[in-house]
Amino acid sequence: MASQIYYEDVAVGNEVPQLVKNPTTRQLVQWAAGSGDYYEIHYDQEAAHKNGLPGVIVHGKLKTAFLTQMVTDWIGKEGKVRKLSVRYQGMDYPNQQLTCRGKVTAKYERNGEHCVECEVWTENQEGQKTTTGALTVALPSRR
Amino acid sequence: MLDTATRRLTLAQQSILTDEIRREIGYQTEPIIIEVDKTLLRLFTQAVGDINPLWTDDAEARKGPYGGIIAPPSLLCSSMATSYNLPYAHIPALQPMRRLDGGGEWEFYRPIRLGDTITATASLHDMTEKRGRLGPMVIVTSEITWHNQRQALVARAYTTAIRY
Repeated sequence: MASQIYYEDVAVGNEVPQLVKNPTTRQLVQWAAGSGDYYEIHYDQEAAHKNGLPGVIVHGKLKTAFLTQMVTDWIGKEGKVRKLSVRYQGMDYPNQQLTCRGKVTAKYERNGEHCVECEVWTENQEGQKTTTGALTVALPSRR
Repeated sequence: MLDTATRRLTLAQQSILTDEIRREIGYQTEPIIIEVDKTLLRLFTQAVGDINPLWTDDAEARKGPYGGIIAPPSLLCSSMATSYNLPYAHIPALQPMRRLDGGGEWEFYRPIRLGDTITATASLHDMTEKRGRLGPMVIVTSEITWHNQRQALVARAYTTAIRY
Protein backbone atom coordinates (compact mmCIF):
# COMPACT_ATOMS: atom_id res chain seq x y z
CA MET A 1 0.00 0.00 0.00
CA ALA A 2 1.24 3.49 -0.82
CA SER A 3 2.06 6.00 1.91
CA GLN A 4 -0.81 7.73 3.69
CA ILE A 5 -2.66 10.39 1.70
CA TYR A 6 -3.95 13.48 3.52
CA TYR A 7 -6.88 15.79 2.87
CA GLU A 8 -4.49 18.60 1.93
CA ASP A 9 -2.87 16.40 -0.75
CA VAL A 10 -6.11 16.08 -2.70
CA ALA A 11 -7.54 18.55 -5.21
CA VAL A 12 -10.80 18.47 -7.15
CA GLY A 13 -10.09 16.91 -10.53
CA ASN A 14 -7.36 14.58 -9.23
CA GLU A 15 -7.60 11.03 -10.49
CA VAL A 16 -7.76 8.07 -8.16
CA PRO A 17 -5.01 5.58 -9.09
CA GLN A 18 -6.74 3.05 -11.32
CA LEU A 19 -7.20 -0.61 -10.48
CA VAL A 20 -7.20 -3.17 -13.30
CA LYS A 21 -9.04 -6.45 -12.84
CA ASN A 22 -9.40 -9.51 -15.05
CA PRO A 23 -12.26 -11.43 -13.53
CA THR A 24 -12.22 -15.11 -14.51
CA THR A 25 -15.08 -17.60 -14.21
CA ARG A 26 -13.15 -18.97 -11.22
CA GLN A 27 -13.31 -15.55 -9.58
CA LEU A 28 -17.07 -15.39 -10.20
CA VAL A 29 -17.48 -18.72 -8.43
CA GLN A 30 -15.27 -17.48 -5.58
CA TRP A 31 -17.47 -14.39 -5.32
CA ALA A 32 -20.60 -16.56 -5.30
CA ALA A 33 -19.19 -18.42 -2.29
CA GLY A 34 -17.66 -15.38 -0.60
CA SER A 35 -20.72 -13.19 -1.00
CA GLY A 36 -23.56 -15.69 -0.93
CA ASP A 37 -24.94 -14.76 -4.36
CA TYR A 38 -25.70 -18.04 -6.09
CA TYR A 39 -27.81 -16.64 -8.94
CA GLU A 40 -27.10 -19.03 -11.83
CA ILE A 41 -26.55 -16.36 -14.51
CA HIS A 42 -23.08 -15.87 -13.01
CA TYR A 43 -21.76 -19.42 -13.50
CA ASP A 44 -24.21 -21.46 -15.60
CA GLN A 45 -24.06 -20.66 -19.34
CA GLU A 46 -27.42 -22.32 -20.01
CA ALA A 47 -29.12 -20.28 -17.29
CA ALA A 48 -27.50 -17.13 -18.69
CA HIS A 49 -28.79 -17.93 -22.20
CA LYS A 50 -32.29 -18.61 -20.84
CA ASN A 51 -32.18 -15.14 -19.33
CA GLY A 52 -31.41 -13.61 -22.69
CA LEU A 53 -27.72 -13.05 -21.95
CA PRO A 54 -24.91 -13.97 -24.35
CA GLY A 55 -23.11 -15.77 -21.52
CA VAL A 56 -22.41 -15.63 -17.79
CA ILE A 57 -21.92 -12.11 -16.49
CA VAL A 58 -19.82 -10.55 -13.76
CA HIS A 59 -21.80 -9.90 -10.55
CA GLY A 60 -22.65 -6.22 -10.17
CA LYS A 61 -21.67 -6.29 -6.53
CA LEU A 62 -18.26 -7.73 -7.37
CA LYS A 63 -17.71 -4.65 -9.54
CA THR A 64 -18.81 -2.55 -6.56
CA ALA A 65 -16.26 -4.37 -4.41
CA PHE A 66 -13.57 -3.65 -7.05
CA LEU A 67 -14.44 0.06 -7.05
CA THR A 68 -14.34 0.12 -3.26
CA GLN A 69 -10.98 -1.65 -3.30
CA MET A 70 -9.58 0.98 -5.66
CA VAL A 71 -10.62 3.68 -3.19
CA THR A 72 -9.51 1.89 0.01
CA ASP A 73 -6.12 1.21 -1.64
CA TRP A 74 -5.87 4.96 -2.30
CA ILE A 75 -7.04 6.34 1.07
CA GLY A 76 -4.69 4.17 3.13
CA LYS A 77 -5.12 2.92 6.66
CA GLU A 78 -6.28 6.26 8.05
CA GLY A 79 -8.95 6.89 5.43
CA LYS A 80 -12.55 5.85 6.00
CA VAL A 81 -15.27 5.08 3.48
CA ARG A 82 -18.39 7.00 4.49
CA LYS A 83 -20.73 6.63 1.52
CA LEU A 84 -20.97 4.57 -1.60
CA SER A 85 -23.45 4.54 -4.44
CA VAL A 86 -23.43 2.51 -7.64
CA ARG A 87 -25.54 2.00 -10.70
CA TYR A 88 -24.95 -0.74 -13.24
CA GLN A 89 -24.93 0.59 -16.79
CA GLY A 90 -23.87 -2.46 -18.73
CA MET A 91 -22.95 -6.12 -18.49
CA ASP A 92 -19.38 -7.30 -18.04
CA TYR A 93 -18.19 -10.75 -19.01
CA PRO A 94 -15.47 -12.92 -17.51
CA ASN A 95 -11.99 -12.99 -19.05
CA GLN A 96 -12.31 -9.39 -20.18
CA GLN A 97 -10.27 -6.63 -18.63
CA LEU A 98 -12.16 -4.31 -16.33
CA THR A 99 -10.55 -1.02 -15.32
CA CYS A 100 -11.71 0.81 -12.20
CA ARG A 101 -11.24 4.56 -12.36
CA GLY A 102 -12.16 7.56 -10.27
CA LYS A 103 -11.87 11.30 -10.03
CA VAL A 104 -12.21 13.73 -7.11
CA THR A 105 -15.34 15.87 -7.49
CA ALA A 106 -15.53 17.72 -4.15
CA LYS A 107 -13.77 18.23 -0.83
CA TYR A 108 -15.15 19.83 2.32
CA GLU A 109 -15.17 19.64 6.10
CA ARG A 110 -18.29 18.25 7.75
CA ASN A 111 -18.96 17.16 11.32
CA GLY A 112 -15.27 17.50 12.11
CA GLU A 113 -14.31 15.19 9.23
CA HIS A 114 -12.31 16.02 6.13
CA CYS A 115 -14.46 14.60 3.36
CA VAL A 116 -13.55 13.91 -0.24
CA GLU A 117 -16.09 12.88 -2.86
CA CYS A 118 -15.09 10.92 -5.93
CA GLU A 119 -16.97 9.79 -8.96
CA VAL A 120 -15.99 6.23 -9.79
CA TRP A 121 -16.63 3.93 -12.68
CA THR A 122 -15.61 0.67 -14.33
CA GLU A 123 -14.56 0.65 -17.96
CA ASN A 124 -14.65 -2.37 -20.23
CA GLN A 125 -12.09 -3.15 -22.94
CA GLU A 126 -13.98 -0.91 -25.37
CA GLY A 127 -13.72 2.00 -22.94
CA GLN A 128 -17.46 1.94 -22.15
CA LYS A 129 -18.53 2.76 -18.61
CA THR A 130 -20.31 -0.33 -17.32
CA THR A 131 -20.71 0.75 -13.70
CA THR A 132 -20.93 4.31 -12.42
CA GLY A 133 -21.01 5.51 -8.87
CA ALA A 134 -19.59 7.73 -6.18
CA LEU A 135 -17.70 7.29 -2.95
CA THR A 136 -17.32 9.74 -0.10
CA VAL A 137 -14.33 9.21 2.14
CA ALA A 138 -12.95 10.91 5.24
CA LEU A 139 -9.20 11.54 5.13
CA PRO A 140 -6.77 12.52 7.89
CA SER A 141 -5.65 16.15 7.90
CA ARG A 142 -2.11 17.48 8.38
CA ARG A 143 -3.44 20.43 10.35
CA MET B 1 -48.30 -24.56 -14.84
CA LEU B 2 -47.94 -22.12 -17.71
CA ASP B 3 -45.05 -22.46 -20.09
CA THR B 4 -42.59 -19.58 -20.12
CA ALA B 5 -43.86 -17.98 -23.33
CA THR B 6 -47.46 -17.95 -22.13
CA ARG B 7 -46.45 -16.66 -18.75
CA ARG B 8 -44.43 -13.87 -20.32
CA LEU B 9 -47.39 -12.94 -22.52
CA THR B 10 -49.66 -12.92 -19.49
CA LEU B 11 -47.20 -10.77 -17.57
CA ALA B 12 -46.99 -8.37 -20.50
CA GLN B 13 -50.71 -7.68 -20.35
CA GLN B 14 -51.15 -7.27 -16.63
CA SER B 15 -50.09 -4.85 -14.01
CA ILE B 16 -47.96 -6.66 -11.45
CA LEU B 17 -48.29 -4.24 -8.58
CA THR B 18 -51.82 -4.76 -7.36
CA ASP B 19 -52.99 -3.02 -4.18
CA GLU B 20 -52.56 -6.31 -2.37
CA ILE B 21 -48.89 -6.45 -3.35
CA ARG B 22 -48.33 -2.76 -2.57
CA ARG B 23 -49.47 -3.44 0.98
CA GLU B 24 -46.28 -5.49 1.38
CA ILE B 25 -44.22 -2.27 1.40
CA GLY B 26 -42.73 -2.07 4.87
CA TYR B 27 -42.46 -5.85 5.23
CA GLN B 28 -39.44 -6.70 7.34
CA THR B 29 -37.42 -9.89 7.21
CA GLU B 30 -36.22 -11.94 10.11
CA PRO B 31 -32.77 -10.66 11.02
CA ILE B 32 -29.74 -12.47 9.65
CA ILE B 33 -26.70 -12.96 11.86
CA ILE B 34 -23.23 -12.61 10.36
CA GLU B 35 -20.32 -13.78 12.48
CA VAL B 36 -17.30 -11.86 11.24
CA ASP B 37 -14.50 -14.37 11.62
CA LYS B 38 -11.25 -14.90 9.76
CA THR B 39 -12.70 -17.59 7.52
CA LEU B 40 -15.46 -15.29 6.30
CA LEU B 41 -13.00 -12.44 5.70
CA ARG B 42 -10.59 -14.75 3.89
CA LEU B 43 -13.31 -16.10 1.58
CA PHE B 44 -14.52 -12.59 0.87
CA THR B 45 -11.18 -10.83 0.36
CA GLN B 46 -9.83 -13.68 -1.79
CA ALA B 47 -12.94 -13.47 -3.95
CA VAL B 48 -12.31 -9.77 -4.54
CA GLY B 49 -8.54 -10.13 -4.74
CA ASP B 50 -8.14 -7.46 -2.08
CA ILE B 51 -5.09 -7.92 0.13
CA ASN B 52 -5.34 -4.65 2.06
CA PRO B 53 -3.54 -5.32 5.39
CA LEU B 54 -6.43 -3.74 7.31
CA TRP B 55 -8.52 -6.83 6.48
CA THR B 56 -5.88 -9.48 5.92
CA ASP B 57 -2.82 -8.92 8.15
CA ASP B 58 -3.06 -9.12 11.95
CA ALA B 59 0.31 -7.54 12.67
CA GLU B 60 -0.10 -4.64 10.22
CA ALA B 61 -3.72 -4.01 11.19
CA ARG B 62 -2.74 -3.89 14.87
CA LYS B 63 -0.48 -0.90 14.08
CA GLY B 64 -3.32 0.89 12.30
CA PRO B 65 -6.09 3.14 13.65
CA TYR B 66 -8.38 0.26 14.67
CA GLY B 67 -5.82 -1.76 16.60
CA GLY B 68 -6.77 -4.88 14.69
CA ILE B 69 -8.39 -6.35 11.61
CA ILE B 70 -11.60 -4.79 10.30
CA ALA B 71 -13.88 -5.92 7.47
CA PRO B 72 -13.71 -4.12 4.13
CA PRO B 73 -16.75 -1.86 3.67
CA SER B 74 -17.70 -3.83 0.57
CA LEU B 75 -18.46 -6.83 2.79
CA LEU B 76 -21.85 -5.15 3.15
CA CYS B 77 -22.19 -4.97 -0.63
CA SER B 78 -22.12 -8.74 -0.76
CA SER B 79 -25.45 -10.48 -0.93
CA MET B 80 -24.61 -12.54 2.10
CA ALA B 81 -26.67 -10.35 4.35
CA THR B 82 -29.73 -10.32 2.13
CA SER B 83 -29.90 -12.65 -0.82
CA TYR B 84 -31.35 -15.62 1.02
CA ASN B 85 -33.73 -13.38 2.91
CA LEU B 86 -34.93 -10.78 0.42
CA PRO B 87 -37.88 -8.76 1.73
CA TYR B 88 -39.86 -9.61 -1.41
CA ALA B 89 -39.04 -13.33 -1.67
CA HIS B 90 -42.50 -14.12 -0.25
CA ILE B 91 -44.38 -12.26 -3.02
CA PRO B 92 -45.29 -14.95 -5.59
CA ALA B 93 -46.06 -12.49 -8.42
CA LEU B 94 -42.41 -11.33 -8.49
CA GLN B 95 -40.86 -14.78 -8.44
CA PRO B 96 -41.34 -15.92 -12.06
CA MET B 97 -39.71 -12.71 -13.26
CA ARG B 98 -36.07 -12.40 -14.25
CA ARG B 99 -33.96 -10.22 -12.05
CA LEU B 100 -31.10 -7.78 -12.34
CA ASP B 101 -29.18 -5.92 -9.69
CA GLY B 102 -29.89 -2.21 -10.10
CA GLY B 103 -27.25 -0.94 -7.69
CA GLY B 104 -27.70 0.93 -4.45
CA GLU B 105 -26.44 3.37 -1.86
CA TRP B 106 -24.61 2.57 1.34
CA GLU B 107 -23.72 4.71 4.31
CA PHE B 108 -21.09 3.48 6.76
CA TYR B 109 -21.15 4.73 10.36
CA ARG B 110 -18.81 2.39 12.25
CA PRO B 111 -16.15 -0.12 11.35
CA ILE B 112 -16.90 -3.84 11.52
CA ARG B 113 -14.18 -5.53 13.55
CA LEU B 114 -12.96 -9.07 13.41
CA GLY B 115 -15.02 -11.01 15.95
CA ASP B 116 -18.12 -8.78 15.66
CA THR B 117 -21.56 -10.31 15.37
CA ILE B 118 -23.54 -8.30 12.87
CA THR B 119 -27.31 -8.41 12.59
CA ALA B 120 -28.74 -7.49 9.19
CA THR B 121 -32.38 -6.59 8.75
CA ALA B 122 -33.97 -5.91 5.40
CA SER B 123 -37.30 -4.28 4.72
CA LEU B 124 -39.25 -3.67 1.55
CA HIS B 125 -38.83 0.08 1.08
CA ASP B 126 -40.60 0.70 -2.22
CA MET B 127 -41.85 -0.89 -5.43
CA THR B 128 -42.53 0.89 -8.71
CA GLU B 129 -43.68 -0.54 -11.99
CA LYS B 130 -42.49 0.54 -15.42
CA ARG B 131 -43.19 -0.76 -18.86
CA GLY B 132 -40.04 -2.13 -20.47
CA ARG B 133 -39.29 -3.59 -23.87
CA LEU B 134 -40.08 -7.07 -22.52
CA GLY B 135 -43.27 -6.09 -20.71
CA PRO B 136 -43.74 -4.81 -17.19
CA MET B 137 -40.72 -4.14 -15.02
CA VAL B 138 -40.84 -3.84 -11.26
CA ILE B 139 -38.16 -1.87 -9.46
CA VAL B 140 -37.88 -3.01 -5.87
CA THR B 141 -35.94 -1.02 -3.28
CA SER B 142 -34.89 -2.69 -0.04
CA GLU B 143 -33.61 -0.90 3.02
CA ILE B 144 -30.98 -2.85 4.90
CA THR B 145 -29.54 -1.96 8.28
CA TRP B 146 -26.64 -3.60 10.06
CA HIS B 147 -26.10 -3.45 13.81
CA ASN B 148 -23.22 -4.86 15.82
CA GLN B 149 -23.40 -6.89 19.05
CA ARG B 150 -23.55 -3.63 21.04
CA GLN B 151 -26.71 -2.68 19.09
CA ALA B 152 -24.84 0.20 17.44
CA LEU B 153 -25.82 1.03 13.87
CA VAL B 154 -22.93 0.06 11.61
CA ALA B 155 -24.33 0.84 8.16
CA ARG B 156 -27.51 1.41 6.20
CA ALA B 157 -28.19 0.73 2.53
CA TYR B 158 -30.91 1.13 -0.05
CA THR B 159 -30.49 -1.44 -2.78
CA THR B 160 -32.43 -1.79 -5.99
CA ALA B 161 -33.47 -4.94 -7.81
CA ILE B 162 -35.10 -4.94 -11.22
CA ARG B 163 -37.64 -7.67 -11.95
CA TYR B 164 -38.65 -7.99 -15.58
